[in-house]
Amino acid sequence: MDHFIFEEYATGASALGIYRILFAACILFVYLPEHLWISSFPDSFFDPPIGPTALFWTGFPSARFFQALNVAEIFAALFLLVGYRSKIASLALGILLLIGNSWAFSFGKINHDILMIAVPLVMQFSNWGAAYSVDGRRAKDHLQPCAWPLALLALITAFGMMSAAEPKAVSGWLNPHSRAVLGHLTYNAFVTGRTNWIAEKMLQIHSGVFWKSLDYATVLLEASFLFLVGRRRTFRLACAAACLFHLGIALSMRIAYWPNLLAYGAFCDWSVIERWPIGRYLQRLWNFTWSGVTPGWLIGMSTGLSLMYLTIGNPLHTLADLGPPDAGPLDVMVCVFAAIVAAVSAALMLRGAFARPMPGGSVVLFDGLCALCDGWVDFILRHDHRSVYRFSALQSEAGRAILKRIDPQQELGGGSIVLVEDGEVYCRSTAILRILRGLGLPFSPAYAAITIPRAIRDYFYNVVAVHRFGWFGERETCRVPTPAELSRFL
Amino acid sequence: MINRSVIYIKLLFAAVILWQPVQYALVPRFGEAYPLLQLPQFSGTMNDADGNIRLDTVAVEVLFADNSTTRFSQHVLLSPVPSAFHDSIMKHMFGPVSGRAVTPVNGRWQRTKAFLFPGLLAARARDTATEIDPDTKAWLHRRILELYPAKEPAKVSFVWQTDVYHKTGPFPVTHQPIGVREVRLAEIR
Repeated sequence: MDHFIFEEYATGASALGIYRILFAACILFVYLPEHLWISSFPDSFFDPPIGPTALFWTGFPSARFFQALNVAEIFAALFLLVGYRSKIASLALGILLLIGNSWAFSFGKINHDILMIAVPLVMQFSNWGAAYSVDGRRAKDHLQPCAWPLALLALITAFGMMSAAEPKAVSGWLNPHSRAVLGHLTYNAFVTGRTNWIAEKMLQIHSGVFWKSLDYATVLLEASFLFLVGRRRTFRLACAAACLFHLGIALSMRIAYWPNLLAYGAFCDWSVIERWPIGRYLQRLWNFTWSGVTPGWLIGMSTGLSLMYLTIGNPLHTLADLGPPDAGPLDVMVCVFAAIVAAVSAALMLRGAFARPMPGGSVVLFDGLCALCDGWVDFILRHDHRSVYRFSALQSEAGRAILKRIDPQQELGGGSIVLVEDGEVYCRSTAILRILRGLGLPFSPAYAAITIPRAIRDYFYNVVAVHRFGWFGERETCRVPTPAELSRFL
Repeated sequence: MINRSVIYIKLLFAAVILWQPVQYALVPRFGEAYPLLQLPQFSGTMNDADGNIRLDTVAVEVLFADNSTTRFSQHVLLSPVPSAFHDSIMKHMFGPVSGRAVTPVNGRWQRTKAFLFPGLLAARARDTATEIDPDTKAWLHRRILELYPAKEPAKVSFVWQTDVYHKTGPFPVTHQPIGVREVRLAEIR
């Protein structure tokens, strides 16, 4: 548990800094101004949920309140964008967004964008203002990013997704005879009026298998977050899949859950951008632009932006409204951007995950008396065309020496396949899967099973390992390599 | 990091985990609160027992003082508001009277809720009223005038019906009336 909280989600200051900029920019340029429409309604429309607005009020505040709220949000978002007093700006932005949404959701409908509010409230503890920020330049000591807020955000996101999956699962989505996605798509097209070309085309599909697959896939994807949260790598894959899922919803139902996308973005390794030529250019541009920023300059810019938003509105909103009605507004474009980032990120992750080790660089230690292990070595030799792996029996002198070096406390236990790869030691099911990855196609896709929690994988491995002599037989002497194999054995 | 901080952080994680069963127990009993760690549910399938899709819809019919009429959707009436709120606002403010569940404030929790959350009590009173609030009438009058500046509205009817989309064909729709909510605006003038 300690590893999950304090280490699993450890990330660099640059990645967090870039994420902070993207988050604040989305709030500032896509989301705001917001809630100004509320004050045009009389108190008779007031229908709050249990919460702060129901606790103290029986109607809506005045227009001035929402104008002031927007001004404060613009200040907080701009300060967060440039990383000036990032912690205070994060806290302020989270609370202000919460206040605004509390009033918006006092019309009998909660829009469930709690993740957008959770991000600044949780990430303020991560030192996401350490890089690409005024705070980073002002700090005497180099600010170190914290991993636990990211782990907490992952846990919150996972439970949030489960809160979406559970009601579906118990309300008929898993019933083989229902068509839940079709029902909601029809509702969106004909009741909410959010119809478009894709919705019309989809509604012409009458395949029950298609619609039922969408029902199952939706529940499965939402529930998977909670099962994958233990490992950052797998959680990122779930986030990437969800970005594509949200794009599908945005295009078919015109519901853009970009508040969720903002939360998923926290788990992306944005520092990759720094390694690209354009990234280095943007880095220099960013540092040049904000090098001389002062509090007075920030206040002036925030005031100017507030005046523009409250008088003529957000220019990007105006531009989005000028487009054709079914082209998709600004928030759909955010979904498209997120899906592209997710696809690239997933591709890079998969490429890294399936990258094959260098020839001769990996050693497989195996039980020389076990017929199953012997067969496994034969299998590797037969399919390892690049001679990636070398071998040593655990009982051999070389094997014992390696084992003593890598496992002085003898923690790996008996009956275990051990793989030493790039200086790292892997055993049991992890070793098997990594070896399959190293063999290349058609075996490498089996490495996808690494996403199954290790405890489950190793349970099945151990069952076989315990019974290996009984099921597969035992050799009386260690395997002696043939002359052709000699170079592959230590 | 000092040990006390580590303990606080672990307690924070424990609180998030332990809160989940509490939330699952409380929400069905007391209704959804805000803020809460809850994402969009999309619960229900909107399918009836025969696999057809049933959706409640509303149309807005306006009778003007010159006896002309017009009909438009809820989205036109509520165009300044994000579309996600349209359905709930229409049901809360202009839903058919016959479809309303009136539960008296007599249970202990109902009384406690009314005391703790006066906003809920006010909303509930409006929700169960058979007459439209004068402020709502004034807003409706103002809104129709914004949409049709040259015409004086006399009456607005909210026509509710259930549209049934049959699973067999490419959506041949049948309509089943639910009710009509009429709002007379003549006295607003």
